[in-house]
Amino acid sequence: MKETIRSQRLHESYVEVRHKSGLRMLLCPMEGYSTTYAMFGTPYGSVDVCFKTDKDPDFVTVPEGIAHFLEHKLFENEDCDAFERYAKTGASANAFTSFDRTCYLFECSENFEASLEILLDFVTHPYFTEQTVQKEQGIIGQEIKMYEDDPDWRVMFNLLCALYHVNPVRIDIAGTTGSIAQISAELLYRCYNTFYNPSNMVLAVAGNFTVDSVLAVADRVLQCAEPVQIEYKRADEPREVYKKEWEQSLSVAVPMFSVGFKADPGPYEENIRGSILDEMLIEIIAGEASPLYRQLYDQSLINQTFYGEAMAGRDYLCNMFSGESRDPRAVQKALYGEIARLQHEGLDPEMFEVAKATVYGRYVGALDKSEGVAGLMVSGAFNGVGMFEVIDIAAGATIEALQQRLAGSFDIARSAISIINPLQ
Amino acid sequence: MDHGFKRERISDTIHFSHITDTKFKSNRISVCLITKLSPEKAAVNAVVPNILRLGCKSCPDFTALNRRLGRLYGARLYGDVTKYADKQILVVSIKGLDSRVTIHGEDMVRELSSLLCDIVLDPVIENGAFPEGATALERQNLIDTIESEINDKRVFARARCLELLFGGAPQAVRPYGDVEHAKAITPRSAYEAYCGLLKNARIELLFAGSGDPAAAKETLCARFAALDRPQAAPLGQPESAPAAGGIAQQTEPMDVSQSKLVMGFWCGDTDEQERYALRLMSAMYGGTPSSKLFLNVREKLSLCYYCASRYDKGNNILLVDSGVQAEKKEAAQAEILRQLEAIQNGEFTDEELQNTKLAMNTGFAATTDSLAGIESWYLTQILSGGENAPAYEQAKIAAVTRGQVVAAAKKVTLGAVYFLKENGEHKEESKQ
Repeated sequence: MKETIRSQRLHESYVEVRHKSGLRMLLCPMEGYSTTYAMFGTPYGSVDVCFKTDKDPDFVTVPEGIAHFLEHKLFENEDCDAFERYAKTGASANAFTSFDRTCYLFECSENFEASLEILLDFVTHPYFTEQTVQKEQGIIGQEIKMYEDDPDWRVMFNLLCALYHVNPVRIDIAGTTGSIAQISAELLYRCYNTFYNPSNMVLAVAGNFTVDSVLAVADRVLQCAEPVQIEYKRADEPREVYKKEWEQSLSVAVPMFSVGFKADPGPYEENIRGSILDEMLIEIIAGEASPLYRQLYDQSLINQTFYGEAMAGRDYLCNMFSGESRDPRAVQKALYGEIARLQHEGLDPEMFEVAKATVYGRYVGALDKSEGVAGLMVSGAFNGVGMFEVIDIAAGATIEALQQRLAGSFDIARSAISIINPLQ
Repeated sequence: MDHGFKRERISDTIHFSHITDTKFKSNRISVCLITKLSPEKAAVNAVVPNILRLGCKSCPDFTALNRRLGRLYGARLYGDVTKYADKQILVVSIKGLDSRVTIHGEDMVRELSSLLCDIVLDPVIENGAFPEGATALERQNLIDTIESEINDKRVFARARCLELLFGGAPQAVRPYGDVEHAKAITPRSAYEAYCGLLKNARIELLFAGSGDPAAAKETLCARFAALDRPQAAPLGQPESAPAAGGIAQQTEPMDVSQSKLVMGFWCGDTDEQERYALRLMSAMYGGTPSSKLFLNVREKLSLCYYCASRYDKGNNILLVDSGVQAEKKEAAQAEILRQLEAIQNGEFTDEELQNTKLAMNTGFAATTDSLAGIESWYLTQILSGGENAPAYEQAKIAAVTRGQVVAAAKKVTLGAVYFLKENGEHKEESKQ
């Protein structure tokens, strides 16, 4: 199956192919680019701690941080690690684990086919032993410690811990030194066999390459596998927030804060469509062109670090405003006041047009880089909203649709604040 | 591929450069004011871009200005302060979509260039000074920025190591200056600093993107050519680094979970060709996931989470930094030095050398695939007196021989060791 997906608006296109192995491939050759960016991903992230396949009798609960641990371990096989192989092609390789996906990627300027072969090969050939698992526990333990010192990271996770009672989105992506100590080679294989089946994965390539070159490598490397159906066990998350406040002290100069609003999640695709509109609401409530931003900035309650973010996933949806402030609670109060005012008085049509153009520009601008294109294609494959569709949703937003979302997406009764205070 | 980089002279100290590449969907236009770093003036200069971005005579209201930017598809106005060797670079940039991908087809390049000129050249002035309110806000924000350098421990530790290496030289001055001088900023002193920069700083106007640079050139050149700059003189090359003498060492305790070890190395007197060899040597030493530091200090000995080296072309130094546990510091430091010695002794394979060149090729190519990368590349070229395209330098690196790498490594000597040491436990509490 091969289909060309076009954007009438941007006069651009990409190709979607379903490979015989079951792998879905999204391929976007970009004229004039010198590099190629490839991303091979699975919809398996830190939130997936309880699951089964259609072939398993029971659900399994795995230690926190295991998706990230698996990402690290996959780079190593019996003979050598993937970085050693990439060294021979010159590709710059990496991987990341987020809440709901794990992606392996590389960027290269030459030897694209050889690099793609390495990517498809090492991700589809796991090799875990108890010895190599133990060694990795030390390295990841250091990574966990590094994040413990990172106030930006802590302020966000403390907020998620305040908003959610049991939803695993509150779990740190790398887990804890305690949880990763429970990981074994056997558990890694169980996770791998569940989530790394080609029929559940996606390969996105953007930049300087030809579609035929990708197909040739895929034919050579990928084996056909029987498709696996995954069943994710959802946490029974109460509607209300877990705590209204969460504070921690770290060595920071000025207090840092994050104010979050918990919303009711729907199906994944609906969450993503909604979050694009929520981004516009964030601009209207406290974007740089809003009256509130001006008021807070003039009162020295926020500085240029202030930003808003919509966060949507498979079974979570929340919005947050974060930054530095000497008085985070005054910022929280002002945000509540402005949200209540907008809910009561309605949205300003001029601000709506500004917010819509801003969010549209943000998504079109992301297509300037092959990395942005590959990332949007992978997201689209997992959440059902294609790369060009995101831009059409932004361009087609209406003030009525935003007004409708305001109450549910920014519910003051379901909000919390996380604060990082300077050490005494 | 030279990306059509063109540099045009407006006066001895003002230039307009443009790089056009139709593959992009955006344009980025920047005004860079370049001056010598000094401890006394760094802070007051640094506040200027942030006061400017709050408004101008044609759009004095910050909210109205941002609405104008928002309607221009979320065009972004940036005020930025960086450094390169002994120079402070104050940048005001604007970035926005190109006309061909907008919904209504606005003339984006002309709109953005004109607004940028208004912001930089026509600010709101009250009684011969910047407005009191704007100055007070940005003075406090600057103080917060300087004090918040501590938030990112890796960046903080590297800056400390640079201070150890350069002592009182301009290279040690932080781009935002220090809190003491920031506190002394007044509306008048900030305005005087602004006037001084327009009169005396070297001015580089840059356009990068897919649009037609002619509109940007016409607007920017006309407005900047009218500046009265009788005193402006070209900036010289960076002063040479202080002579190496002994190893400066400092350990600073802090309440963190992970310690940071930063080692600063002098690279001796070098010519252009030797600097290419040093870049290659640094990448093979600790610049890639197959480098000696990554494979040995992290992977083989599990001494740290990261261990990387970076060659600082402007200062001609090499910094190695690592996130370690305090009890492993000595072992990590010894291994970092042992790996350097290995390169000095020629203990590396031809394959390692070739692989490093391949990895660097990807970096050179990636530079040309992003607007920010292109702008940063050519600004660095301009600052170091060149106009080389990435492909030119890639070819120079490709020609570096094994012997040249060994010779370059032999010039590298340890100059400073800074250690940010973990000390105590975090306090965590939650309230309901």
